[in-house]
Amino acid sequence: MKNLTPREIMAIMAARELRGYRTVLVGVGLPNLSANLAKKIYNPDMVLLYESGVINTHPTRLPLSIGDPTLTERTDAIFSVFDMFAFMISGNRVDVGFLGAAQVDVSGNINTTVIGSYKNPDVRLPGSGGACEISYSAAVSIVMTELSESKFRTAVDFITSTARHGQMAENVKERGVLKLITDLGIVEFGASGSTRVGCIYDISGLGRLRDVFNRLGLALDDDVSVAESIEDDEILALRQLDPDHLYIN
Amino acid sequence: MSKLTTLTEAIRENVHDGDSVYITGFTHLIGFSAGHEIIRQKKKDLNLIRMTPDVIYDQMIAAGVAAKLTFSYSGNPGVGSLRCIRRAIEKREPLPIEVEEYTHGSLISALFAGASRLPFYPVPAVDSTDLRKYNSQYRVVRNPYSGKNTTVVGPLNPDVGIIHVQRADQNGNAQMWGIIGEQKEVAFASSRVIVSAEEIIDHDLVFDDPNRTIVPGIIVSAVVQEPYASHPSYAQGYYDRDNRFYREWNEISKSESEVKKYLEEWVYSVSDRAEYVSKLPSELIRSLSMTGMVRGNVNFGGTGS
Repeated sequence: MKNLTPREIMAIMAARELRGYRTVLVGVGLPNLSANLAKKIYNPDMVLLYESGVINTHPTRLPLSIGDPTLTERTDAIFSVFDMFAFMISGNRVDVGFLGAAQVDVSGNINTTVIGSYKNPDVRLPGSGGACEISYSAAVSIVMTELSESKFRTAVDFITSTARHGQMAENVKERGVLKLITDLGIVEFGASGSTRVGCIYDISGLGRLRDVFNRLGLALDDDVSVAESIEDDEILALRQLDPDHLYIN
Repeated sequence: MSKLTTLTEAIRENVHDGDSVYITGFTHLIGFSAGHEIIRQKKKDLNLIRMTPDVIYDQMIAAGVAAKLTFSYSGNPGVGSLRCIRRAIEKREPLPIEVEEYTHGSLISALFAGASRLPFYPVPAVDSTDLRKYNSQYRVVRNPYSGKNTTVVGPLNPDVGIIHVQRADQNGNAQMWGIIGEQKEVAFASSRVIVSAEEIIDHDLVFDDPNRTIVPGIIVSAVVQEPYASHPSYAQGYYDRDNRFYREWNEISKSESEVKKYLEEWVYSVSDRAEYVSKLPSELIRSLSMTGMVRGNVNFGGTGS
């Protein structure tokens, strides 16, 4: 795929997945790059929300953090953190919670807190931030993580948040759905507990995907669809957004 | 009555060993200078509270002023880890630290309950998380309306809230714009409130634009004029976020000795914020200055007489 890094592929595939949604709450890291790419080339009407309180922001540069000053330059509203969580998130105004994760398990639980035990962690991760409330309230959760053994598991080390609830949000048919954007393909968890492969990026990855599903005791569909190949203009748009390689490294 | 003082005095009078301290700023207007002053005054056994500890609490914990950290997202935003905090938790270096951990939604709700003197606040999103097992501030109660159980969070009332804003008058009427974060909840939840401001303005200007006041002077203990207090965080309309430093801290904080060197050069051996600013390269200050973009005008009418 034209010398694309796995993170670049994930960023583009996740951005494509945002087509058709209206309000998207954007988390730190790779989702931030991917959401801005989606707004630029796939879904210009998409409403970008950040937990720092900005509503329908049109940033002029790629924000480094979720509170970057570029988010406040052209935006419909700036809410306090309390108002953002009370009215926009808890108030079910978010269609998609778009977040990263250190670990995800087959039940749709997400870990961003610790690797190992909570009291004596091997690695202390940042913790929930807004992820717990966002995953709880957003109709759909889109989460970016790799399919490695340490990251996609039978059970996470710590349940920081779970996408199983999926409350009501306007204009969204799916509720309580978790879409995992991985380095190989997109894995979808239904609200009823089902797991299926949304698509695979490249048919050559099918063997690895089958291994992952076997390891976790998940059934893999016979006919896995293959994503449309990535076009040059998508790569160009992505690289223009992140010229200093802050996210893509 | 003027409450104007220096930051050195304000910290000396209001922050005591063992206090719970909340330095506000959700990415924007973080009170770095207050954090540095607390380090310089060698306070001890503080409970440092912030939704996002950020680089300032990473520095304060490395300097050994805290016995406890209360937080909901301990990362270097957009960069990665807060390494000094990780060392304190993972390896108990340089000192072990007690942790009280929340989610953003439940921590801001705990502050809201503290500010409103409410007994608790419902936080149903926390129901199915593991965090509930490790923070006794979360309890489960029966909802008297539905009969179902729900998780609630208790109120949080810091001893001291420290608020940095763009402008304030000498009574402490504090005005801010841009990302307005958790400042109001923290100010009203705290027993004592220190306001520092990029500029001290006439009281008339507060009358001209009262919607901009986020903290009214009547609850403020001390007011300080402190330009550039938030660097490397930012002040909307004054100076941009120094993203380069946030990335640089990621390198510095990899080694305890580099952190010590940094603290020595930029905290202990400077007497105040003005001296810190004078050490910053003028090229950096130029590159962070925000271009003039004065906008908006509203008509308040007036009842006349």
